[in-house]
Amino acid sequence: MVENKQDNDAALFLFLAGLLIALTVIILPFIWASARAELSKPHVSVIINQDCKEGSPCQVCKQDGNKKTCTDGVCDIKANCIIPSQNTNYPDSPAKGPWALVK
Amino acid sequence: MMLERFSKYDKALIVLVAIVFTLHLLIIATPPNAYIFDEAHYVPSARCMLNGTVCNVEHPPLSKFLIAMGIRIIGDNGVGWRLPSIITGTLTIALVYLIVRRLRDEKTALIAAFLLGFESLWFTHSSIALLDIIAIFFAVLGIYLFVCDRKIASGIAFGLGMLGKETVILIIPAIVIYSMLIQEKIISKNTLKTALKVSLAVGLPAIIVFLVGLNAYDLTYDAFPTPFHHLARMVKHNQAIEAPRFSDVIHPVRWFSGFIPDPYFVTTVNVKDGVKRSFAQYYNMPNLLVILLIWLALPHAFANALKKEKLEMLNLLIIGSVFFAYLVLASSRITYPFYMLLFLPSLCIINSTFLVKMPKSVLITYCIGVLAWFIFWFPRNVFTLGM
Repeated sequence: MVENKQDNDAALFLFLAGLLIALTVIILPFIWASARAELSKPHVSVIINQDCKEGSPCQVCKQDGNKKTCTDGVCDIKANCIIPSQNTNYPDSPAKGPWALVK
Repeated sequence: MMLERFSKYDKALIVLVAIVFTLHLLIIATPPNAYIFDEAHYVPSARCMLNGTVCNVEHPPLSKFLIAMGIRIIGDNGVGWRLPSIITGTLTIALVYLIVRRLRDEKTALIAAFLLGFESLWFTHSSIALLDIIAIFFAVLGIYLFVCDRKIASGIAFGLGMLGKETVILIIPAIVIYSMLIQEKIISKNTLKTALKVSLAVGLPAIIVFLVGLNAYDLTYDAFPTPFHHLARMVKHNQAIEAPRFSDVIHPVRWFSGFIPDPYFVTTVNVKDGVKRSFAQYYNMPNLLVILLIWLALPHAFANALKKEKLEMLNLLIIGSVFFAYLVLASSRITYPFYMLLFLPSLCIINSTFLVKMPKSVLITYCIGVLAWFIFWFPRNVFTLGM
């Protein structure tokens, strides 16, 4: 009885693992294709806050046709708009989103 | 036909898992190449592993290794980074179902799986490339193997969990205390013997797997002369992190009462001049319908635990052990609300034991509420989908 239960558990778990692999193979190519298409579009990136003084809030935006998407950040000492990480464990390695690297 | 051997609850779990996993896949590339929260630390660490360099030694290597495998197999992009978390986070839902089914019944198991599947903090963290979810998957696997009375295998799974993130060790005392409390006489020679047996059968393999794993990393990357040096470095790093003022952080005492969420990665779209809507909205916001229900479920669960109901006793001990540890730790080191992820599966299980006693109409209304909250805080704002 106990073995039957464990067999059934294993069968269900393996079935689910197989299902996840199947869904990944079926769905992921479509998702990734659309993400690649979006990435390959030419983006005009701007920093809204042009006077990026250290510690002041700023936004990094990307313009794609009429669509403008912005991420909030904080200005660093070199007037870069840094998208901050919430984690203060590693003050020596601030998180920089790639969008923030494009001026 | 394989499906015929599964009950209607099993089939409902299969549908639930498929839905949750599909939702993850739909947002896996949002954003496609920008870091969310601490991905900024762990994705570069995974790259270090692939390049053969040493970095981020303050955390053990297994989760970063799996992220690195994602990068190697799929590519150095959001999909490759996040797939390991998504797979392990989704499979943890199935493990929760199996644990509850073994200790109670299929209906309670399905409710617990549903609550975890649509718990917003769990979903958000399962969507991003951090250490926690991968580590907790192995921890929950360890709990499952323990309730199947496969103690050594359970210890190995806990060891792998600790190699994912060291905090998994906080669950092991709960397992040992549980093995004592389910004995007829709590204070007796037999009970102490059992506790010692469980400590050795689970704890020893866990520690061995952890140290061997650390040593394998240290030897491969020439990082530390022994795993003990590595361990000392991890401890030293944690000791150096200070606790901010009480008012500056979301202290563990506020985890069960709701809090203003911090943004992990939030982008906005200008709908028209001066009107902004969020687009990607990754926050550390739990599903408050799930979290707050614990206040109603706790008295019920305590009463059952006193009657030596295994499911309630085990999961209350896991919640208590992890929460108490963070409560103590919070006086000397910063703690984050996402640390509650380690006991979220247990919290969902405790809630499910309460909900299953409710009338059907209450259960359905509650589940609709959970779904509504989940949709509102879904990392890709569904109200800006066409934009």
